[in-house]
Amino acid sequence: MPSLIDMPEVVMKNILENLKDFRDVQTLRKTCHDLRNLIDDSNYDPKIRQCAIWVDRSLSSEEQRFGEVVMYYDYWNIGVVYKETKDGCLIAQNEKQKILKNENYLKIAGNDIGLNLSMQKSEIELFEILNGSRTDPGFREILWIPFLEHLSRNLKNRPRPLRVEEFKTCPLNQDEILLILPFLDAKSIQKIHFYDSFYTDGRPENPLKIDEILKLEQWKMASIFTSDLFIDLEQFHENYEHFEFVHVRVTEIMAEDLEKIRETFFHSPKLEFMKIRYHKLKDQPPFGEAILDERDWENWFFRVPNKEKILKIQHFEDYSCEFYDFRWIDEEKVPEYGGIQ
Amino acid sequence: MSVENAPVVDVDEAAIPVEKKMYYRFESNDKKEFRVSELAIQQSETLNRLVEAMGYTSEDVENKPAIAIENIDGKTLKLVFQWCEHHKGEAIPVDDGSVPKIVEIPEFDAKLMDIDNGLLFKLIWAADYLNIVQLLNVSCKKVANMAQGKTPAQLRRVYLLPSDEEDEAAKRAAQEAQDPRAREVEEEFEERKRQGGNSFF
Repeated sequence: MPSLIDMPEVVMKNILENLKDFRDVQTLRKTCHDLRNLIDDSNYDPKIRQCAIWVDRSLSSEEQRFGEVVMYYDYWNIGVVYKETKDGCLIAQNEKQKILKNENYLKIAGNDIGLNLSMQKSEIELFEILNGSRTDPGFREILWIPFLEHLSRNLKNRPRPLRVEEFKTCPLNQDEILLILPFLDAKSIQKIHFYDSFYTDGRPENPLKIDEILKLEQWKMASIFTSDLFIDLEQFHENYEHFEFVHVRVTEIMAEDLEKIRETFFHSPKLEFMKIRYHKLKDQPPFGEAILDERDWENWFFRVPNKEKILKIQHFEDYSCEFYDFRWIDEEKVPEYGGIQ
Repeated sequence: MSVENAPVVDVDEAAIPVEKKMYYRFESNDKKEFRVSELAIQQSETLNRLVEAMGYTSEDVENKPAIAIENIDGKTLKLVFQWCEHHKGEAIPVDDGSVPKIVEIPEFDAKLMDIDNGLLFKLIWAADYLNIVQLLNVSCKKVANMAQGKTPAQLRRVYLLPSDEEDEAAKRAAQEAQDPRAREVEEEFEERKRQGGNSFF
């Protein structure tokens, strides 16, 4: 009597394509050697579209705040929780729970995601690695970094880099980003976001250093960069003209910085939009007299040789935050009162 | 030689063009004979090419021996032709990989495939061999659905798979049957390793 392992390759591929949940493929791999080899040779692609990882400390225990890693796949359709317990790791998904004694939950979680992504060949639309307790004492050293190291090892060992279109993370420093970003496929990365998942007011006194990130191909190939976290503007200069869209937060901004940004807009063939949220303005803007619009926002308009569009710079306050906004606009959108320089 | 009732499902005469009313005769490897409409045969790329190449007339179909399908038994072939007759005239899906495959199992197909897993695997194998794209799709979908939420042990039972231990034992048995001395040497080597020796010689 034929069994599944007697099926021709094309049939096996068809069956795997019809499996709705990539976890079923992982279970199939565990049944026997032959099927494992068959699946590994089948070019199977789980086609995961989104993957979000949330590292946090559970609020469930009064005595001790145990760590947990929650993974969501395909826009929250599939969720798996890995919880630290007194003597091991608890894995929960849907109604099922499993306890692995004497196992480290961070290692299990890192390896599991590595395994689930091991066959991924198509591009993941959104890959998020977030945390919820980054200001907790010891969180970074005990949970966050060890998890990222486990995940990093798995990403590093892939036969080909993971293809991700949009990468989102909430780092405390660039070392954390360097554990993940270099192992994503530079040709796929379009968007990079540094995110403040805890909605703290950032740390203006200690902006995120990005000097090593700037050297990565992934940085150079991306077209959109946003950061809720304060970044080091001095390092950022000279390293964003390849982006199309930039939205960053900086500690302080000086006339010299604004001038540099305007110059970058003048010569960058790609830069379309840049919004800078700043904590402190050191000097007056270097653009001459501003034109106030109906909201009392300051505007400047610049014509540039060989460019059809007009560079609009706007300075405004919105919800108690202050911004500079640089963008190219069509000339007909320049208001009548706008004096183009 | 036994002859199965043919055609396997009622034929809608009005729906079939006059020139397609020919019924071909096929024979399974256990000598069961089937009559299948030309339109139903079109669901199978393999059989369609075969009958086109043969260029049989209506008289040939009756007078010449049934076309032998040597790799498929009567029980499986009956299911295959029932499926083809039910779906005759339907467009054959083209899978160029450009869009994700979305397969729905119609009620008729679900009932047809309400069979034991061994026969289901034979049906899949036949659909692949005869290149019946949509039958292959629905039968593979059925097999895939069987995997949902199961443990490795449950999957072994569902898919008639050996465990790793059984797999190893089967391989050892095959090896021993082929070369008993090789197994003896291997065991001797393992024993020496257990005793702490670094070299076999």
